[in-house]
Parts: sequence; C-alpha cells; structure tokens
Amino acid sequence: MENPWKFALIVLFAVRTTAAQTPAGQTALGPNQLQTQIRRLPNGKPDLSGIWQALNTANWDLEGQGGGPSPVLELGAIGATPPGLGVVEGGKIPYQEWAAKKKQENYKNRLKLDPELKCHLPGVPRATYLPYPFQIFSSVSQGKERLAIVYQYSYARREINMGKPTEAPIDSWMGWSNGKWEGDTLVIDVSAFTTPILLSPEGPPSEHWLDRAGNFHSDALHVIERFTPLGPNHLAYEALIEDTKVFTRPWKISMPLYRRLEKNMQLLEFKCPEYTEELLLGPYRKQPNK
Amino acid sequence: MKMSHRFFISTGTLTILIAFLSAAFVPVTGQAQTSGAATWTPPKATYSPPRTPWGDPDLQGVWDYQSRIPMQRPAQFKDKPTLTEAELAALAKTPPNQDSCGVGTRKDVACTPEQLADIGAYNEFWNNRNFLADNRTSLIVDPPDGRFPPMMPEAQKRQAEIQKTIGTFDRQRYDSWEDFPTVTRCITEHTPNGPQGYNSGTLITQSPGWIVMFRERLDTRIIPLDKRPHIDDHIRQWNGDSRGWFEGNTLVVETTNFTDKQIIGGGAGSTIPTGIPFGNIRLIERWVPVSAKRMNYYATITDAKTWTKPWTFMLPWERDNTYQLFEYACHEANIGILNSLRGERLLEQKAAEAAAKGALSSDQTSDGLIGATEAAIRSKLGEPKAVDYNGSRWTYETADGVFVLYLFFAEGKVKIATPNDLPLNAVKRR
Repeated sequence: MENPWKFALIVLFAVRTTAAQTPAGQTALGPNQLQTQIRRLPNGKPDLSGIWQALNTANWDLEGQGGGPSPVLELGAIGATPPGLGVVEGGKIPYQEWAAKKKQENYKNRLKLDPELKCHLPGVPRATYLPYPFQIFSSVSQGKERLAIVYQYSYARREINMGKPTEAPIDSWMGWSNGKWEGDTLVIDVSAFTTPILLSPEGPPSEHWLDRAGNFHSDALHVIERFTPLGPNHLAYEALIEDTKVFTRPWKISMPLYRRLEKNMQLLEFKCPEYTEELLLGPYRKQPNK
Repeated sequence: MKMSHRFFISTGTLTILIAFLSAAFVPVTGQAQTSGAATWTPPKATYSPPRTPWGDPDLQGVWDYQSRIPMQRPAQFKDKPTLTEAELAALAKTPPNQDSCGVGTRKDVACTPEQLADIGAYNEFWNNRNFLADNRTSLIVDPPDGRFPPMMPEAQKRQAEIQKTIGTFDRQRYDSWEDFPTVTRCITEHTPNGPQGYNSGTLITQSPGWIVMFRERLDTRIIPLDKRPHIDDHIRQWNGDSRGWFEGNTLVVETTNFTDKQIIGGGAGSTIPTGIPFGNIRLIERWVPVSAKRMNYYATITDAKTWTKPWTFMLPWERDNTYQLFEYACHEANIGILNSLRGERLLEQKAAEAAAKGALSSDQTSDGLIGATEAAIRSKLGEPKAVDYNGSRWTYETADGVFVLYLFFAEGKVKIATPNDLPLNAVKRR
C-alpha cells in the first residue's frame, strides 16, 4: 500500500459549511472558495500544517522605515535596510516616556545590543517575522489535538498546548503557549518570558528586542497571537502586545503569512550559535603567535 | 559467511551443523536473524500502535532513552552479552557511573584525589536516572561481539591526526571553541543520539507526510515521509538530511549529507568516537514498536571510509507521559566556554609574565608541591583557605583573586595540584 495518508488528505480537504472568519479588510477569497480550499483537521478546525514565512520588513522595523545604509560599512548595499510600510496598527508603538528614550539608545547601539546579532532566541512574536521560514505541525490523533511550531532560526521552536490552559512551570525565551480555536482562528496566548540575562561579565545584558531597530519589551510581555486562514496558501497573522512595564496600552501588529510553495520545500539548518563564536569569543581564542 | 547462508537454506541437517559453526556470529539479543548470515537483519515490530487519522502508526508523545549500558562491551564481559538477574541486582546497587565524585560532590563522600581533581563532568547529583530494564552488556548489537568493527588503516591515520589538532576532554586543551564538543558550543548533539545523563526526553509530533522530533537539548529533527530525494550533495548539515517511511509499524529513517565539521565525540549523547568526520556517514534508523510503552531504536552506521563494515546499536525508548520538556536555551547563557577560554588565556599570560622574569624552577610553582607533607605545605603557603573532603582537598587562592589552587592529598602527601604551573609567589598568604 503506498502512502495511505495521501488518501486521508483528500478526506481532510472536505468542505465545511460554516464561513471562515477573516480579519476586517482581508478578503483574499470569497466565502465559498475559502470553504473548499482550506485543509481541515478531523475535528473540523483548519489544518495549519505547512511551511510559512512572512514577506515584509517587520524584522528591520515594526513601525516601517525608508531605505537606509548598512550599519557596517563593508556590507554596502548588502547590509542596507530595505524600506517598508510597517506592520503596527496606527503606525506607532505606544512607549512609556523612558522606554521611548531607551528605544532610541537601542537603535544607536544596535551593533552591540541586538540579540539577533548574537543568535539569541527571538521570542514571540519576533520569531514569526524573522526572514526565515517556519513549519507548523498540526494533527488530531487519539482524541488529542497537537500543535508544534519549528522555526528555521537557531533552535527556536514551540509546543503549543491545545488542551486545558496550563501555567508556565518556568520562564523561557520563547514563552509559554496555550492555544485554542475561535471559529477558524487559532488563538495562542503567550506569556512567561525570561528576564534579561548577562552573557559576558563585561557585556551588557541580553534583552528582548522586537526588531533590528531596537524596539523592545520586558519580561512582563503578554502576547495574544491570531492565525486565520485566508485560503490554502495564506494566513492572516495578528499579535496583540501587552507589557505594562514598557507600553502605555496594548497594541497590535498584523501581516499575511505565505506558504512556501517550492517543490520539496523543507527547513534547513540555520544553527547560528556557530556563526557568532568569533564575534562573542574571538578575543579569547589563542593567538597563533602567542 | 555467505557460504554458510547458502547451506542454511538447503537442508535441516546442515542447518544444525552450520548453526554450531556460526554460533560466534549470532547476534546476542536474539531479535535478529537465525540464518547465520553475516549481515545484521533488523527485527520486526511486535506491537501495532494505534493509527493517526491518515493511517500512519501514531508515535506521538514524549519518549525517553536513559541507559547505563556502554556503547561497547567492556572486556570483562567479553563472552557475556547479557547479565543474569543476580548480576543485574548487584549492578543496581552500585552508583550508575564512576563520577559520583566530581563537581559538586558532597563533602562527606570519600573520593580519590584523581576523582576530586577531575572537573570534566557533573557528578551523579545532577543526573536524571530513569533507566529502562535492559540486561545487555553493550548497546552495540552488531558486530555480535558488541564492539565497533575494525577501522580502515587510512581512517586510523586520519583519526590520530585529528586528535592531534583538537582539544578533547582527555587533553584538556582549549585554544578555541573548536576544541569543545558541539553540544558544549550549543550547536548540536550527535545524530544518532546516545544515552546522556539528563535531558534525553524527546517529543514526537506527526502531521500528514511529516514526523518531527524535539530532542530536549538543541536539536529538532524534521523528517519528510514522502520519499522525496535528498538535498543536493554539497549541502551539509550537522544533523544531516533525513528521509523517512513506515515499513509496517516500524519507522525507518535514512540520513545522509552530514557535515565533516562534526568530528568530536565524548560529549553527552555522543555515539561516534572522536576523530571521525561525519561527512561520509549513511545512517539508517529504525524505531521498532515492541509494546504500547516501548520502541527499540536501532541505528546502523555505514561509512566505508572509516569502518570495515556497518555497525548497529540499539537503545530502548520508553514512553513517558509525565516528562515535561523545557526550553534548552543553551547558547543564550553559554558562559562555560567563555570562561574556559578566558581562564586558559589568563594562565598563558601569567606563564608569559613569569617567563619574562626568568624561568621558574619547578619548586617555585605548584608542580613542586607534589609529594609534600601537610606540614611542609603549611610552612610554604600558610593556612589554606578551606579544607574539604575529610582533609583530602586544600584550597588556596592567588592574591589577585583570579585563580584557585587545589591540592589533593593522599596518605598525607600532595598527589595532585590544580593548576600545576601556578607560581607559588602568587598565592595569597593567610
């Protein structure tokens, strides 16, 4: 018997009668097309399995920016900042006064401070819009719904608890994820992020940045993510960001996510700790002439 | 052995004769072939797991593979592939490994100077031991003697050369981060993965056409099940490139495209000895369900440039629904490598400074303390800062607070000094 799951997939494509919910202003497909084209789990919920990627400049600056030069002279146009419209609802991140100043300082010192530079875990929501693909594994089996997200970047990954919400046993870089369905929208509540950590005795603590422009949050971050299928190959992604230590009010980002449609697409390794060793440890390497 | 195989399929009488002749080649675990053929034959599943809605065996959930069985059969068990019940019971009473002395050892534990001076591993306190019932004396099931097969002469030469150029746990040489196992560098563990002291919990999630394994430490193995071709030969990865399929109830995964950058063994979970680049390895793994709770995991390693024949080890995996995987944010706070390298460079700097002032004779460094009595040490260095382990470890520090000097005593005399090249005039007198 060859590939029994292929047959099952056809069954999973079965039509569901209720209309899929789409966020306001996002109407990629008419309701009938949408119903027939979304792959579904045996429990009728959308099957979000697949390899996805954001296609925007959110990782350079959530608020959007004109094009800009590279912060590293030698990188010329390769390291230049691409222009982008921004993904923040209302355009601006509502920082508390001190935090707005800190963000400016962060930007000035970004070549020393950006945790992405050091290949630190990106947290949520930054993991979603890093310029790397990620893969969702979704299934319902033996009555249990399972959801896992693996990011190509470093060893970032999340197991989403789709059962009764649970308390985080400990803080972590990627947070603690409790998922549930609201209609056709997957809603993930993420909290319990680590406090900044001191990597090097001489260095500054590693903090949580939302992008390369120095936008940041604290360990009080609480994110509510929403994934809504717009069709077979597109998801609407929203993240409501709350952090009473840093912002004056909750704020939202939104963007489409695109299915990577290349034949035989797969995540490859991007084990970036290796690419930071010279940067972080270089001064402590034995010099050949010593 | 090809000949005996041919005889085997002819007559029953000959079967008995040949079985006798080939007794030395029958795999110890008994799951494998009875034909006497030299090639190891994977065993069949004896349990049929429930199915996913799309028809694959459902292996989802958390599995663990703690084991205290060595990869290779120790010499004392040369002709003894399995232990008796009585021997197992005796083994269960002994500490799981020799390093119940070591970093963090309780100060009332009796340890030898060598054990106390060995800072290579955590002691038993740190380990999570959930050993599975297993009476074997080696993880290797093929070759049947439970040992790695002979290496090719060229590979032996290559291994010796690599061992000369890199630091290892044994050499304790830390010129660069490249002298550390990749798990210490927070990059990856060995695939295939072996037993380790803790964090071997593995979460399996499946979706149609895919299976993904979260190893608690660092690695996520994403395995497509659609028999697509491997990635291009020039793309190399630490965990290689895996392609999987089900043969009945058994998950079979073939992995190629490993990187030659992986050359150091000895770290937790490592399976391939140090000095063997992974690039030419073709790995076949089989997860063979044998009960609702247990799969036997077989890894067959083929590398004709290194070994004269393929070899296979087996590690039982047991379902553990109580195991909670935690985030292994290793690189984010990897001060271990940073401080090891800093320490080495500081030692070199001190040595250079000392050399600039003229070479120190051995009685001017801590090396010269070997063999000295307690009274002699007191008269040279004054009172120690601390005395631990029933008097067997004395601690001094340098006046600048940078270095700690440990002196380990046996029978009233210093047996080991760590570090052994510390100028004695740098030691703080109390």
